Amino acid sequence: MKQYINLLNRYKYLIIVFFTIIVATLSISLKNIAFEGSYKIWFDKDSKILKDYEDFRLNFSGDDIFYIAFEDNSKDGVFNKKAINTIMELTYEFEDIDGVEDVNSLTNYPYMSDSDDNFKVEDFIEDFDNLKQKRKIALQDKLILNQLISRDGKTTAISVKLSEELGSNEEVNIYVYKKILQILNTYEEKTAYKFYLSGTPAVTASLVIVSQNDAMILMPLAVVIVTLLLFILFRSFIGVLIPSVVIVFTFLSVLSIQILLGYKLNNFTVNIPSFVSSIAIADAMHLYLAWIYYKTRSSTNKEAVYLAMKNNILPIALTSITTAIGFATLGFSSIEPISTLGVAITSAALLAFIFSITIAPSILLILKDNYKIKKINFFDISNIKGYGKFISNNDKKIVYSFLIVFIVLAYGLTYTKIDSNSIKYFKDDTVVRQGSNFIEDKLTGAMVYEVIINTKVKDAIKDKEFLSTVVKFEKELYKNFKNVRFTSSIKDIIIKEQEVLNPNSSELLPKDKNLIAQYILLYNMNLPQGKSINDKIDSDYSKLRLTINSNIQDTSKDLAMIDWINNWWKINTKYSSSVQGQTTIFAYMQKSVSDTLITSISLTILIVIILMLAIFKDLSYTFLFMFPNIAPIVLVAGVMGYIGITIDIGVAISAAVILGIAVDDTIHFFSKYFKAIKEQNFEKSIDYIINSSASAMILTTLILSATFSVFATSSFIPNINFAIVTIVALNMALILDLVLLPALLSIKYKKQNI
Amino acid sequence: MIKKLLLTIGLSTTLLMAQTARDIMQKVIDRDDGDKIITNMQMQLIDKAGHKRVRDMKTYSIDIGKDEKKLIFFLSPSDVKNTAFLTYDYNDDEKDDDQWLYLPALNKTKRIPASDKDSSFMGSDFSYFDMTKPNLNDFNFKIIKEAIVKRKWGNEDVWLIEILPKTKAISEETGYLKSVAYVKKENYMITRAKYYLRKAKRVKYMDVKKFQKIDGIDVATITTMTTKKGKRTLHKTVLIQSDVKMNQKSVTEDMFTTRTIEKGI
Repeated sequence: MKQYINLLNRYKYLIIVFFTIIVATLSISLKNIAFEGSYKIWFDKDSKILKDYEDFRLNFSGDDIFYIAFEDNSKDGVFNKKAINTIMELTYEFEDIDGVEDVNSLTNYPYMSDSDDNFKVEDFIEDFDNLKQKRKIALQDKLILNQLISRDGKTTAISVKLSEELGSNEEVNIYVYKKILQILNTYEEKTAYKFYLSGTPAVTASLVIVSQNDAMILMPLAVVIVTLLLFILFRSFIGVLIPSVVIVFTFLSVLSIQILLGYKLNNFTVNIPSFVSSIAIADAMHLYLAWIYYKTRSSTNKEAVYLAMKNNILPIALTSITTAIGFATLGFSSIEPISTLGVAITSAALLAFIFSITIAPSILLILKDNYKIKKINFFDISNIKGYGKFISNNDKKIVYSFLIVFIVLAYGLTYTKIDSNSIKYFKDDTVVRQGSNFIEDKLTGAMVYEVIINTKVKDAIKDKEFLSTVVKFEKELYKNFKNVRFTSSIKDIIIKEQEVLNPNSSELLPKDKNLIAQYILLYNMNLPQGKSINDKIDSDYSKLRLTINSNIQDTSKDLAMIDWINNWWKINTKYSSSVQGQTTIFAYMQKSVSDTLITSISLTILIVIILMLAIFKDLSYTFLFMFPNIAPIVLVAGVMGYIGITIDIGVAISAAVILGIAVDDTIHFFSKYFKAIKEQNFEKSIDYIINSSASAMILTTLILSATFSVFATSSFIPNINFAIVTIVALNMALILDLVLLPALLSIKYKKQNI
Repeated sequence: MIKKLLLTIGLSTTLLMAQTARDIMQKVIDRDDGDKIITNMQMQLIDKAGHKRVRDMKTYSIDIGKDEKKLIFFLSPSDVKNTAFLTYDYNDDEKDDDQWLYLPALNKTKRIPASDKDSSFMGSDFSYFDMTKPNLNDFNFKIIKEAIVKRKWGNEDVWLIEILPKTKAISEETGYLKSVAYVKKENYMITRAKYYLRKAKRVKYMDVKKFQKIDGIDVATITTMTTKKGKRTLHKTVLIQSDVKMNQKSVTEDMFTTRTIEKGI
């Protein structure tokens, strides 16, 4: 070590310049920062779920549909000149937007009529005549009731469909989203109606916009807060500089490398900078505070740097390695955002270590021997005596108290739910959340599921037997799932034609397959050019698309309903079904991500245990090591169970981060303990740890809490949950490390030394 | 003096040109496209994924004065076999064109009011308006330029004629904001066309892939119509006429009634 410090001292300026240039050069790539929000990134390229969904998009024209709704509270509801005119104009304006393929509204709904053998399919409302009559017709028309018009005739919706090729492009989603909002703003001023917007493209657009905001606003804010805190604590330029240099250099290098490797930021990885910062800060803080400790006690600056490095390099190396290994397991995931996170944090751990042992000491070595250290603006625990004694005298009491708290809180685990919901990821005051809430309240379900039923035989969807099965299925679906509000498929058009063209028949559906085929031909022939039924059936007429509108529900319920649907068709019929649509793949995605994270975390814990076992060569020490790190996760999960917060992606990530950071403190604690216990008794050893490392542990936790608290202001709920969970868990870990751990060690020490 | 002369010449030429555009279109409409025709027609409907659906039909058409009547019998697919279609295309703009569709499975004939010419013909990319002769008085015509359309079988000299609906009502009725017709100078047939739809900025491209001379009459035997939005093809129709027979004695005026579509030929 002496030689290394001499080396650093010789080349300190060179080292500083060298690393600065490298980081600066890498940072040039930051100008290529890009965001992505597409569903595709969440799936392994070979994923069957993804393939099936893309097939669906190709054959059925996709499901990228915005819903715009508004309410007219006057006594005829929307069936007055003003509302109808608004719908007509909006339909027109939306159709004109680039990327929009089709718009369906109350006014352009293809209404079928047959009088005196004159069959017509035309826009339902083309002028302002007979609106009272139109109202009566609309409220009885199963094709639009509870989808385009509400039961009380007061709320109406317009659906805006993006073209299939463009719909999966989030830039198009965002463009159309913003354009629609623009148009709606204009009309709100004109008409005084309040408009609401929802639909999966709106959710996609919002996800990207929110992550952009978080990246652009919250991250810099976090940096400002940390800098401020460091200054308040240390009141010196060096005190701000050392940790900042390590954090910023690590953060810039990791981000630049990601961008150079072609990665884009998404809702998940937009948090990488804050994770990286939190990992980097621990190393720098321990080193810097150690330097302060030795500087106030030694003669030369060089001596202080030497001692600080000598006594901390091993724990810092260990913490970096455990973090790197822990997150490396994520790096093997086939889900890109997760592997990106793993790679980023692993490289962050290693880079932070490198910067901490090169640049940080080099900067410190520049200072003169007579550099005055200001007292830390904080309670000074570097000279505390008697804490060890306190622990030793009360060890059993401490352990029992913790045990009780632990059992009580851990019991909350029985209430814990792992669940998620993409719309609920947004706070109540966001556009999509408001939109979905309004639509569900007044009109129909805001979640859309696409069921593709495969008859496996060409033209078989024209069989009455098949169509009757669809009718039966719908009845049972409504019966079993109260959240389902509306269903539609080509079957409804055929039933309508039968009503209109063959009113004297008692059959809901014609028995004659040829008649069904001719109904479809007749309907097709009468649609205005541009409209067709191609999105309702496949070109072989062997697959039928059934669209379900259902209320927002948690992913676990989604998956249950999807399973029920597929099972129903499998068990009760000779046909098969496949549930598609973005709601469905979101549901699968949440589950697979949560599963991946839980697996990774478990693996990490296992690896750390093995590593610690190899180091301690003692099972009881290994247990003592792991307990203060796993307990916070368990305890927080228990608390969440009690207060009813479900565990979502944000929380799952939090567990990974907590593990990475909390372990560091424990490593520092243990390394100091084993060193001290060789020469001193237990009480003095504990005092030594408090004097030399506790400040770093406490201050790191404080700064991290401040950093993460910024994310509690995000509009993205998983970020908020992440912030709260992480802050609470880290502080719990600190208390466990500083109070429970010494108590447990005291008991063990007494046992060993009897 | 010179100025006045040039102005007069310029004006007259312009007037001549304006006349010419409409004249050209008049000649397109008046062109002898044959009479008492029996043809087999195949319609291929191709979606954006490239999946194809095929309909086979047999058509009969007759000119009665300046009016035209057509019978179309579906031959396949089998579930629409014997479905039949009758149209009356009146030259007189006072009279509305008429269409009827016979559904054999229902044993009923439905009249389909043709006032909505914007509707698709047989579910294809052709609209009803595309398949009938337009009333020239509804439109303004302008020669955009003269050009050459390169074909496999040689080059075609064409006029590009812009066709603009005179009123918003006509635009709404036909479904078009404007169209551009490529008219062959050689025989006043439209060899290519672009249609700008009112709906959602779509554009349709019509192209004749094959011409044949049958009994001295030029016939477009393969025509495609592709609906696009921007660069993206939304849907395509290929219309193939085969076994085209002109001047068939068996085609008589009294055939073109609803009775025929119900009972068959």
